[in-house]
Amino acid sequence: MSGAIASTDPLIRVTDLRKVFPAPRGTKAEDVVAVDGVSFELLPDECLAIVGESGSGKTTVARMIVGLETVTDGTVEVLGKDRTAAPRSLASRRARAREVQYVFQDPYSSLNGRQRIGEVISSNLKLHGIGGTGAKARAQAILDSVGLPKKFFDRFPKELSGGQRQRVAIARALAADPKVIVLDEAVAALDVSIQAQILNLLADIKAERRVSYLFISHDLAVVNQISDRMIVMENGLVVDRGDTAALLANPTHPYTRSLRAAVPGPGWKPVRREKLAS
Amino acid sequence: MSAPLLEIEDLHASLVTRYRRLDLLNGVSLTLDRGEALGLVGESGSGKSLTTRAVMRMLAKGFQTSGDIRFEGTSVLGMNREQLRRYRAKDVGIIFQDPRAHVNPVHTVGDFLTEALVREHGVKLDEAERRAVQLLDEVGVRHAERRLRQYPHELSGGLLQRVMIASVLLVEPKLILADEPTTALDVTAQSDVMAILDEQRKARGLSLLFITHDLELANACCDRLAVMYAGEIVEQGAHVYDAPTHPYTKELLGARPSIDERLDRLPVLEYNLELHNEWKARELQERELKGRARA
Repeated sequence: MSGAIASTDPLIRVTDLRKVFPAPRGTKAEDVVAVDGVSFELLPDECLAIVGESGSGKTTVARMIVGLETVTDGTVEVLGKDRTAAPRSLASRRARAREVQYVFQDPYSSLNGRQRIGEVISSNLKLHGIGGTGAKARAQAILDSVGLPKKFFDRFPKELSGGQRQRVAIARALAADPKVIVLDEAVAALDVSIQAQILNLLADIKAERRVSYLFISHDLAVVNQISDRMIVMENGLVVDRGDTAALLANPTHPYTRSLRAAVPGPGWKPVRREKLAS
Repeated sequence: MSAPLLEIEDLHASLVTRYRRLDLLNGVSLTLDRGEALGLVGESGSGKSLTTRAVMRMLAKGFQTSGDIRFEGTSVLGMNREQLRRYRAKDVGIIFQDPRAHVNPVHTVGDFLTEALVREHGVKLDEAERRAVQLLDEVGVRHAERRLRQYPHELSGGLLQRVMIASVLLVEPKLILADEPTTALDVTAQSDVMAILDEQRKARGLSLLFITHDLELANACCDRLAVMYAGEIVEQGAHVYDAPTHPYTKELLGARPSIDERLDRLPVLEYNLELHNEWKARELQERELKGRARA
């Protein structure tokens, strides 16, 4: 598709990205600056984690990259093309879906309850013009690659467990054969045993398909397991960034340190920060 | 020696419909002493929430239960309406995972906090509000007086969970049931909320039954842990985290990624119902042998 770009060029480049949610008209509330000048690059074959607390703006950044949210200021480049403006036509939305796919946190609300699993996956295969019987065989192969039996093809989401649904969501993303998958707290809602399986699956997929991940999470143990680099967001700003293992082994920024200190482990005790102002 | 605060003895619960019968709790036995914190740990569907609901006698119609739950020696399952109401209102406080689902959105935080005090304890409203403000302050909510006039939707999840904790502490119960109180929060808010719960509980000498899927978190906040699988407690004690003996506990601990070390692959749990049934058969056999030896 985009053979013009070199294999080391960044897949995604965001520059000075800003998002302001205006206050509702007629109220005294103030505008909310959710993202306030964020820049980073996602390289081929890497997993970049965005970490931060609720409300730090990490999800808003990802939503702007895929065009689910309009950009207030700054630019988004995907595979060397300007993708700052939200897609306006069906064709441009499809084009962008081939580049970046999104896996949401909640596998219960992210699948259409009236669509069979086979249709969920086939709908994304159509992005590449794969239809008919070819689509069925492909969809079953993809189901197999995420560790689901072929018989799930004709099932509805309500017949599946949370872990199985998240596998379907990943299968749907893979069907579009994207260069980048955004994983937005994709393992946060899962049990420990299922979480381990999905993290292993994601590692396998990344190695086999040479896809890059933008991995959004507040769980630093999970981030340590899967990501190569990480950026730390606080109140819409990137406050820290670097190699994941190095940053976690020796966090120097006070905010990264406080996030690190909040993760339970051997000998850990909960600590109370200052009183919440808001 | 006085009786434990809470005793659960061989609790069974089954959901019986016209077509099938689901055995969800298969003989849960627990004791909780005064001032003790017990962590009940398990994955989805293991029966940990069901156990807490049974303690509150809040199981839905259609559940068949056997066994006994005793609070200060009195059978909870045998309480009459009035006893049960008083038990729920004064003896036990429960904190849920999702505070937003358990407050009335059209009532202010102040209404929510003072209702039980005014209705159950006969406290005057202005006195109840004074206590509410003081307690909100203790659990780390700033501008407590202003908060009383606000509605739940105006508060963040972490803040609302603190209000929840304050509402439970206000009625001065003897036992707190906390069902995944921090699962919906991020790590820093979780650390805050657990620290507050821990310090308030210790200061007041309350008992805590802490339900969670997180072994590490439970270990940090509890004196003892009990691990549940398929409606049964497979292992309990103070040793569980540092020296687990049951295969399921060991695998569960191993499957969690670590912040200090990155593994090539995370170990995947191999424990399943089949292994569980084998384990159960062995346990029964051992118990029988011991019984015979004694005889």
